[in-house]
Amino acid sequence: MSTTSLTAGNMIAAIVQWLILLVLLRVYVYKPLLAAMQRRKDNIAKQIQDADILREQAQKLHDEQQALVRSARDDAKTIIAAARREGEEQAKKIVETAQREANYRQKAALEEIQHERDLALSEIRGQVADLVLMATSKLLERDIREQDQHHLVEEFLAEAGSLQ
Amino acid sequence: MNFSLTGFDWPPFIWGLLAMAVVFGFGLLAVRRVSTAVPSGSQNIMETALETFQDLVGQMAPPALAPNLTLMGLTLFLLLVVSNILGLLPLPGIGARWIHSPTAFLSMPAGLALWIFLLIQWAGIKYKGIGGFLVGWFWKPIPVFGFIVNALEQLVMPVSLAFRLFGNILAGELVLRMTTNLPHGIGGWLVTLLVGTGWLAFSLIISLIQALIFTILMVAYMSIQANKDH
Repeated sequence: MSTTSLTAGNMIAAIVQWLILLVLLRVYVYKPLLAAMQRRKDNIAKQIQDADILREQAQKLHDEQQALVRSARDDAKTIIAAARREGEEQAKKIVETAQREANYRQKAALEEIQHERDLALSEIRGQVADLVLMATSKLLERDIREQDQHHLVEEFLAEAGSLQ
Repeated sequence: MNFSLTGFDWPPFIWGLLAMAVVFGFGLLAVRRVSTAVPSGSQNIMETALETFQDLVGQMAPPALAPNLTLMGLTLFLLLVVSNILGLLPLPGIGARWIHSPTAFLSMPAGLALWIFLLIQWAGIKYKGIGGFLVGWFWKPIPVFGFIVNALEQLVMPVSLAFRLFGNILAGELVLRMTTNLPHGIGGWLVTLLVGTGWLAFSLIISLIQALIFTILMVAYMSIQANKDH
């Protein structure tokens, strides 16, 4: 036999060898290999999905924090503005109170001074009247009821005061 | 060339068994510790081969046929590559027969081609229906006489498939033997070294290419039958 001989037995043997090898490889090699490849594909798909979800969550957190920071900043701004306004108002109030107080004190002091002056004046008037009475009664030695004379002198002095 | 119904040639059968063992052994090595992480070594080679064939077959075959055709094609390719390369290895002969490649014995490629021929007919019936299959055989491209054209085409296909592989591998192995059996002397071993090494590299590439051609043609013929629009 040569290599160019065609023998039915060898032809069938070649086919059977191919088929047996196909069955063996399918069961022992291709099946686990394809399963592993499929698992790897699934894993990668899952990891990509997980990464997407994580990224979304991170984005959401980031947005939330951004919003928080923004609102905190706004809050701080309003608080500062309110505090400033309040401070200014308070300062104004303090100044006003102080002004009022000062005015009141000044007024009171003036009134007191006026009062003292009036008091002093009336006392002086009284004394002057007494002195004048004494002087005139001594001079005139007239028996005049003290009170009527005193009254006359007062009138005289009041007229003299208004003329001043 | 002579045909024998009862005769049996042992060397191609034994070398074929060896090729099977090598392919199966490498396959087992690849899945010894299957990794779902990054594959390495033999698993990587096997996965690359599998994915390459998935792409290759996926481009041609319809989705229903593709997975099975992929595994069939890859098995055929691996068997043929190892069979072809067996002839290039320094192995002992069996008896007086020193040809090692089972593919360098006409019976093996012819047997495979015959099986492929039958598979194609089966695919035609399965995917076109018996009516479409018969119309394809007898009514195209012209009624009745189309059969002559189709018979020629369908018969030439397995014959050319078988002889292309057989011729390339046998020639490769024969020329390699010739370069190693040159007369002794200074010129002899120099020619053996230069021409023999060059021819060995060339034959290695031919081994791969012929195995790939045989497989791709099988896939293409099957796909043509399975695609309904053809």
